[in-house]
Amino acid sequence: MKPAPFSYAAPRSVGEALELLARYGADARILAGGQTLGPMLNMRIATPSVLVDINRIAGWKLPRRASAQSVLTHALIRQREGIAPDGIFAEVPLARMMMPMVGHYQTRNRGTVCGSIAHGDPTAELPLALLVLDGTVHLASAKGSRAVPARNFYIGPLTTERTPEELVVAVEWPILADTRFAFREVGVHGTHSTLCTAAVALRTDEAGRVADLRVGLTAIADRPLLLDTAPFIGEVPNDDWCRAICDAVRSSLSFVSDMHASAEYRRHTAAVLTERCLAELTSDRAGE
Amino acid sequence: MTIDADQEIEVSFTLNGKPVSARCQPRMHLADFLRHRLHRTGTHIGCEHGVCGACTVLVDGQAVRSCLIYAVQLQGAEITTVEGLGTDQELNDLQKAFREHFALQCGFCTPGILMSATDFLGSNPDPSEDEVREFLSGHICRCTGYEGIVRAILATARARSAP
Repeated sequence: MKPAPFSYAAPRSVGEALELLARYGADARILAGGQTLGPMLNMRIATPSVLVDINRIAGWKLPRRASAQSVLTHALIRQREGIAPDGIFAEVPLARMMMPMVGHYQTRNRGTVCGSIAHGDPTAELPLALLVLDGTVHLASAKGSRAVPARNFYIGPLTTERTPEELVVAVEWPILADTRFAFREVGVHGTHSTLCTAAVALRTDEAGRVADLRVGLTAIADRPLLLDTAPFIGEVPNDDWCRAICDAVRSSLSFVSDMHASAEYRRHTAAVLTERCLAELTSDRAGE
Repeated sequence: MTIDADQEIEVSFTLNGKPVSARCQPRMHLADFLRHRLHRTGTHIGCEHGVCGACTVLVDGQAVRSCLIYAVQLQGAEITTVEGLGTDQELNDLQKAFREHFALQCGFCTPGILMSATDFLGSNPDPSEDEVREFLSGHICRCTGYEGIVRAILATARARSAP
């Protein structure tokens, strides 16, 4: 379990890193935390000819903040920095409540937030949080920069909009005011080796009507998925409303089968976890 | 500057408080560098893909998998391994607690768990049992069933915070 030979470059600036990526393209891999790339290298699933180690880049410059309504995490923010109540996700409770389920204590010390977003593991929590929050991925290459909404970023399993010449320089996490969040996860070992994860964001107006509802699920398909919640906006949450949302989860999303669970198991679990999230967020609803 | 794949370069860092250096190719991970270049065999290698936790060491004070970090990345870093915990004559308090609470049998996973616990207790001096079990989920021990390890870590935390 030793990696195949690779050349190694440790650029000192983002510009230098982007030049290397432009030069080597798909032959290069970006090394940030290395908690996913390391195993892939050691098992020779990935055999890049050059590693571009971004850890020596000092003083990351963040893209211009789109507004005061978001938090930007640059490419060297470690996952452990998102755990503490006063950490980087202090104003992004959905991401913060997921952090303890991301890897382990020891891998969070090294693994990065942007790395998890860029890798796009279809069972990972952070891509789901970014999708539910309608966040943005900031990409840069030697040719320029662009911002890709999370809903367009994930294409398929471990496949994203990012081209090999591009670096995820930052991820933008919207702060959703007056919104409450819930998430539930089922895995092969507790919350590890995830089989299904549901995340719900809910905002109600003064009359108790639903002003914003987002339901996201992951580990059920080749990428995180959002439910179309338009039919459920404007209502006062009650048991029928909750049941209709869970029915929509069952009927309108696609589910995959694999060695760990059948599509039917995931379909059932997705509805149950969504129901539990909704129950947590509407515990005062009528009809109970 | 790019280091070619077959080029050996000099890597220098601080190991358990002393400067060390040796040559290696870019693809050599820290665990192999410690064992085969520096001949410090206290760090054990289990799975080599970050799952088992046996190779955990401290890099600049934080517990990390030494199989998932390459020696070339560590120029100037401060590395602590199990050899840095006690002395040749005496175990440190955490190691003694492991012995007292039967927290090891074959001992293969122990160096990694000791290093993780060193970081964990440093940042969380008064952990709950659940917190200890959560951080231990990053380690695999096939002998003890973890009970003794949890007891040893909690006992160390209590003893350290006693007046």
